Amino acid sequence: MDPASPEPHLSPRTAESPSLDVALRPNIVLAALLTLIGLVLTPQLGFGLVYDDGWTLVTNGFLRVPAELGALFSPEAITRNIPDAFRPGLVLFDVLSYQLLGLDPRWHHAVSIALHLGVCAALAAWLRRLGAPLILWAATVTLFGLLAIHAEAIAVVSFREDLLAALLGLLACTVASAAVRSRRTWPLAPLAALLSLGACAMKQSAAALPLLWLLAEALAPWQTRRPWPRLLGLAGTLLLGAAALMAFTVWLYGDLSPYGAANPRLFVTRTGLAPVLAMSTQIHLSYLQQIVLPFGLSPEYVDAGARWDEPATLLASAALLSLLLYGLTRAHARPLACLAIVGAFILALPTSNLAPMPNMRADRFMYLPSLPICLGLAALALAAGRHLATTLARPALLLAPLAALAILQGAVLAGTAFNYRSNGQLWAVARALAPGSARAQASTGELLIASQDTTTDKARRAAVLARAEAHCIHAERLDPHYELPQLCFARLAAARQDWREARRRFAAALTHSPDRNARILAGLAQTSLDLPGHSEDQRRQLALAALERGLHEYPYSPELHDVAGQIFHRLGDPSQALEHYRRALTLAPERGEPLLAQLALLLDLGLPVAAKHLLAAHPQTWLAADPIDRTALIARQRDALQLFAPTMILSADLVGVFPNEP
Amino acid sequence: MNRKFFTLLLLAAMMIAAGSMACVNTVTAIEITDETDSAT
Repeated sequence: MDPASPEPHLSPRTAESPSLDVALRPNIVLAALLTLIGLVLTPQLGFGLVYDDGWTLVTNGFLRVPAELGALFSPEAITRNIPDAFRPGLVLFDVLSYQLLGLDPRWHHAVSIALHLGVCAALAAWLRRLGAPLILWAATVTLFGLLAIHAEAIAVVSFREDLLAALLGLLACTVASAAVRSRRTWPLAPLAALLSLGACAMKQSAAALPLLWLLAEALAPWQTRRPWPRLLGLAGTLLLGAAALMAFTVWLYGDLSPYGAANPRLFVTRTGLAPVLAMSTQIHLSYLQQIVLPFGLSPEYVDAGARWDEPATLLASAALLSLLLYGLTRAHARPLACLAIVGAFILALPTSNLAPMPNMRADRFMYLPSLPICLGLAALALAAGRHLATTLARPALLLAPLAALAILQGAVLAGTAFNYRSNGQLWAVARALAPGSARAQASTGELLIASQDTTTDKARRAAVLARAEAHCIHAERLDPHYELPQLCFARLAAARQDWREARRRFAAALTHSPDRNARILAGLAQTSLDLPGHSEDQRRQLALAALERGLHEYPYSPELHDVAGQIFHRLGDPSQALEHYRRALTLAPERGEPLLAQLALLLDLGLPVAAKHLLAAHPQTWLAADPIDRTALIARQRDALQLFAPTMILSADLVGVFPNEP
Repeated sequence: MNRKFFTLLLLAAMMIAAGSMACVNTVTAIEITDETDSAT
């Protein structure tokens, strides 16, 4: 059957396939549905960069040096702490998108929306290739596109790893399904393997997709099953892509898991596997509830263990097991139900906590597993509609249950997405929904402290810092072995200019933190230089030791290079300071601090004309920097011109470069 | 059929837009903008 055919009646097994005489063209239906989904997601274009975007995009200097991309495919990726090095495809995509779009959040959100629409289109293409009738694939795409639990994966730019993995994985499935139906299978097989490899290079959890493909083709709910040798051969080809990525991970990390067995971020290292798996059963039943009835969605969940003899664990295990048994035993009579249930179990396996993960639970983990669930939900909604239409003799009611479900999901999706519009909103919601989260409390404290950096109102500043301190204390009580509460205290102490306490807290954060230590080491180096009770030589040695370790372990951190520049500037080593300021500016051209510091250094060296040329080369960075600091520098540069280059006053004045300067 | 289909989608879009307003979380965001030095 032509996969684009709108006639569902030609399907040999229509027992579970809703039938409807449809006079609509499939491509028009798909375009209209994608337009609806796109419209619902449009408000996200106004959102900022939040959550992990800071670590993977904003301060990720590796994205700014494409000439060093080779390091990503060597052990250097680990020694240089390249963020997300175990997802090389994602890093490549991030490099490309940064080089094309810069850091403009609107463009990055547009990419995420386009990727989600691409996933919906790829899902439609695969279902059509499998022979699903128009009404069923269109209903599945509608539900998947509007599913509320997808808010996090779509609204947070750095979580596009899930969207990319799903897009490439579904394209691999579509190509494999085309190959299995084609007389000339093998020209398409390498393409399918390549797409599967690409999907796993975006996120390892896509490695389960080949099993879903095999299940769908073996069950063949809408067409006769293809020969087993062909199916197994193509499934093996798809798994080759996944195996290649896993081999790369093992080669890079010496283990299938990139997190390391003794990583304190993994809850399993604190409690053991049994309590984690017991809680995981409860988590997965909650996921199912959140997918079917979208309430209880949250940007933050608190990791916790459970006992196997708890009633909640027993009930959740029984419910999930019953569902799985139903799916397995009904494979012949109800292949669609089997595909939806067993398929969801297969896709949920990689994030089911069997393999240790830093977060036990997150809404975004359900992006892929929700795919077969949406197929099952769509079939159920259409069956309910058919029953309604027949019982009440109103054919128009056929789509009523589906429309109600889609409207509910779409409304919650659009509403929930607003939780991710800014870090201030995100952590406020996270604190409200997960008050026991040390991360939410500590992040709130840090946000409050950062907001007071330039405040001159002393009373207000003291009040806000006291509020921040309460969050730091709460965070430390919730998790005394976590680095974020210590960082919260360190920033608080630095804001109060208590350098001894700040350094002690930065050092404590470092002992608790297994990775992502660039900003801790930068803080440690910076506070060492002002440490009371130490000789100048001791302070210098402490600062340089922290700096040396930081720059060695995190050579792509713009913050560390900026701090290195400041420290060498203060220690009277202008050539080293200039080198680090330049590197900081290369690694994060959007940051105003290294540009302003470099300008100040040039003025200190009596080079006001060089300062003007530097500024003219980075107009956007200059204009984005703090206006008060800019005004001070303009005044300093005029003084320097009068002193060192009086004949250049007219041509080298900064006001000549930017006429609208304050 | 086309007209009915597009009308259904339009209605769905309007109902989603209305429903989303009821689903927005009303928790007040953390105030991270400092207006001490601004004109207001």
